Amino acid sequence: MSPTHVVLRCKWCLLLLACFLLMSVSGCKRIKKEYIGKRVLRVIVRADVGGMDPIFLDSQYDSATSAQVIEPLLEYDYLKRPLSLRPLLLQKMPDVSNKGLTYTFQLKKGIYFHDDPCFPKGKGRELVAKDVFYSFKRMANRAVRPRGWWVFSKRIVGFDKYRSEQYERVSKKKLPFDIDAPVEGFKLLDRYRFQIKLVKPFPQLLFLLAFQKTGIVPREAVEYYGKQGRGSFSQHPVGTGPYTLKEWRKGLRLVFRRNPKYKHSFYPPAKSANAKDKQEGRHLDAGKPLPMSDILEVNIFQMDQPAWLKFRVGDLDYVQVAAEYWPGVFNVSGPKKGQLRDHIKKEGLRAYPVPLLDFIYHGFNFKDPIVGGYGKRARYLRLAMAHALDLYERNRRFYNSKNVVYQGVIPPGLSGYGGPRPKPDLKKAREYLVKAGYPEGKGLPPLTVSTSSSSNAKEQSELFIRQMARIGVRVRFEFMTFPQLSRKLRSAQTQIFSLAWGSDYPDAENNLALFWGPNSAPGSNSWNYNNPVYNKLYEKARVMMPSPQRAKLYRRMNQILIDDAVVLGSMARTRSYLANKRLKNLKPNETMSTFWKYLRVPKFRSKRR
Amino acid sequence: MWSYAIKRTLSFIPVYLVVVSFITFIAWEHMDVVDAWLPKNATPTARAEKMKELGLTGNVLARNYRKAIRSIQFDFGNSLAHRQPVSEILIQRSWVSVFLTLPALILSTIFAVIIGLLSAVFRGRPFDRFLIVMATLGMSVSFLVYIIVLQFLLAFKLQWFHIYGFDDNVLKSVQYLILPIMIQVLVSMGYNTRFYRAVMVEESTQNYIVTAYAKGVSRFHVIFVHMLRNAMIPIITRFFISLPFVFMGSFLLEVFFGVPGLGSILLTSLTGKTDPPLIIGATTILCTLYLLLNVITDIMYAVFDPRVRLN
Repeated sequence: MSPTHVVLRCKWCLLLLACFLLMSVSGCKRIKKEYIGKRVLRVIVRADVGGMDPIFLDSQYDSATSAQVIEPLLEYDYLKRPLSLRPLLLQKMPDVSNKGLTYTFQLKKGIYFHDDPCFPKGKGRELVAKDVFYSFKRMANRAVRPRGWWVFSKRIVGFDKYRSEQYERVSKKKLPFDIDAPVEGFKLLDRYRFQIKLVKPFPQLLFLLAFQKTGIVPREAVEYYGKQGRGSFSQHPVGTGPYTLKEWRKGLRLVFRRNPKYKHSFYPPAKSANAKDKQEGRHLDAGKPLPMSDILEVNIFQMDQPAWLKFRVGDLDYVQVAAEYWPGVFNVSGPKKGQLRDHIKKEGLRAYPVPLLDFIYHGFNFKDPIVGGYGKRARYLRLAMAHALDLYERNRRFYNSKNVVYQGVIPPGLSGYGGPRPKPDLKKAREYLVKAGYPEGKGLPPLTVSTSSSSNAKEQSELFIRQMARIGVRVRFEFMTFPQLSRKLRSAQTQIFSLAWGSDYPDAENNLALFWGPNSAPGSNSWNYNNPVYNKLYEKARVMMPSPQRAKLYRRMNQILIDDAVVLGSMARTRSYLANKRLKNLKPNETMSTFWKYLRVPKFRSKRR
Repeated sequence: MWSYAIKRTLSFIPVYLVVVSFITFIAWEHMDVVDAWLPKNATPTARAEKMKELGLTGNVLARNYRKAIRSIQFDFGNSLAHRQPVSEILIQRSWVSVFLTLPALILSTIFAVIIGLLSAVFRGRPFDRFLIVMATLGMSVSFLVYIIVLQFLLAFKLQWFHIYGFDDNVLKSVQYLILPIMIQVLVSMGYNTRFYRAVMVEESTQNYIVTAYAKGVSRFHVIFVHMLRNAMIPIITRFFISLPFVFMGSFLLEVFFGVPGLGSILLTSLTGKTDPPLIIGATTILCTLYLLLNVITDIMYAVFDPRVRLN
């Protein structure tokens, strides 16, 4: 008996295998039957979605999916740059009175919640002012562990007191959370109007009201789905948003269906569009009802390759270009460097650079005896390192030169931005080192940089070590998990640390607050920087409404931080999006969760993609 | 047999208690749970509140004792990341994992045993050498390389398979799972073939094989009846030891092919924001299955080999 003979006796195995292969081959080039004749937008998120209840949102992907169903009071203008707010559920922007302490809001009339079994006869009712307070007060229920109390903490009159009282009631008296108990700073004026009183002026409040965490939900739905055996509101979101949740396959995809009652939001007016928007046709829907798709399919991908391949076969309408695909999509050298390659252009694909409100840096701990403090010696040492650091090289080697390298702590696109970072100057760096008393690094012990382990943290550390070695400064890196690094920062145990901060809202106040003395460790001021002049300026600026005077103060504070060399920075990432030619109106923006409703796609006509 | 099974199961109870208590302690106390779940600008008060919320205040032994007792009784509570009962997640996700990994395990075992048998029978001949080379190749190349290359070639370039996806309908999901199962089979074949070949080579030199040939039994019958039956003990051991991991899924295959199984969320619960209830739940289930399958393996020995006595 030969091997062939044995194999032939098992031919049924081969037959079975062939059948399986045949089953697999069929269907993989087809559009889903239920999509034919419909406008289907297929987008991507890069991590699993945990839930859609605004008070439990934990990631930008949770927010993006939640925003399709539940809406906050305000939203960002889709076309306008720099980012600016516009009413979403409100009739107009709120009136601010009483020296910035009182905000009066008016809801649009005729906005209805989705039809859902939680409402009598399954018909969604009209949104009213008390829904807003109901939604905000849910965040104060400590017993259910909401994730975002910081949004309201110490801002609204009586709200913190209400939270403590309720916690006492729930934890000690074992009574249910009383959502109807009054809060001094919340006042209902009529069915559609309400007022919020602040503890102190906080112009950034409006940005917080565009956060998905402050989305407005109907009490009926929270109570209905909160009952045993009905899942939870997080899994069955109900709101006023452009879509309703149709299907949620955890870890794989979410499918939303267009809300036919969605009439309160329009495409931004033509004046919001800039020249590029007009050139790319994004102004054509200006002022019209939204061009929303009939079905929104949100696909969850944790890996770059499958997302990229799905995009290339036409199963996704846009994708972020991962670093490994960059050279295949963009020219990496020559006069067309950074532009789309010809074959990509021929396919009708279009690229969209999306600058992020990022602040990537190395920071000094001002409590450290060598690099910290306000004395001349430490300052000269920091300045020497700042002049030796070449962030442009880091950008070139690790980010295909697509990031923005800037000086100071305010990312480009925000008021107070300090401009591009000067090129490294080794001569000056060596001079500063001499002034610091460490000529060519002599007498200076090796410095320690604490950083969290990320995909290329090791490689980036090597570059930093080499750049510092050019002036004789010896550096060693210690890698740890992010929670370990956070713990170290909170206890002010680092010397130099490497971190990144993404602005919560497009106002430099968010970044400048990081350096305010009272925020020192264990607060968010990981530098432990406590400069009385800076503190005074911050306290003055933070209560000011946007104005040229405030911008001037921001610039001054930024300059103080540059002069004191508090950070070795900075860099802001730019993501590159690539869109299929069927997709119109795309202007990606990672601060805004609601932009999918502005995208236009044609109907699927045939079964083949 | 039943008394043996009961005795063996009872003897595993101390192991179960130690493992679950240990993992409960490690997951809650040594995985930076509080820091992982704090917002980026958390105040010391927020941290203290979070510690209280997570039950991480008070005496270390007392709080972990309470947690361990609950875990031992399969009460894992809610996942921190998914805000859903852990038991629900484990049930929802593990059947998807089983759907991907069990066929792969069965197929790779069948193919590897057959190839191992043939390789042993034709030992030293070109066919055997070819199989050894292929098995070594299978073992040497990274799993990730197989996934990346085959997904690119077969699913993207040739479009024979789906790139990504899953369907709750068992029949419809077959089309999505063929490629990942094929890859899993291909990769595990390398290790399995070499292992089973070694087992079969040992069996092929036994006296009963010579006797069977002397009595005029056909070669096919000798290989697939006599030899295979006698080699069943290592096969059963290997198969049943692998079974508990079937429920835990395959992280790489799941994330690359969009199979929403347990592997991907388990890894996220360890490497992303630590999710102790999920980690404890999965470990407890894995431990239970492992211990129970050990008993079943022993029973299977007796079924396949009458010489084995369970007492």
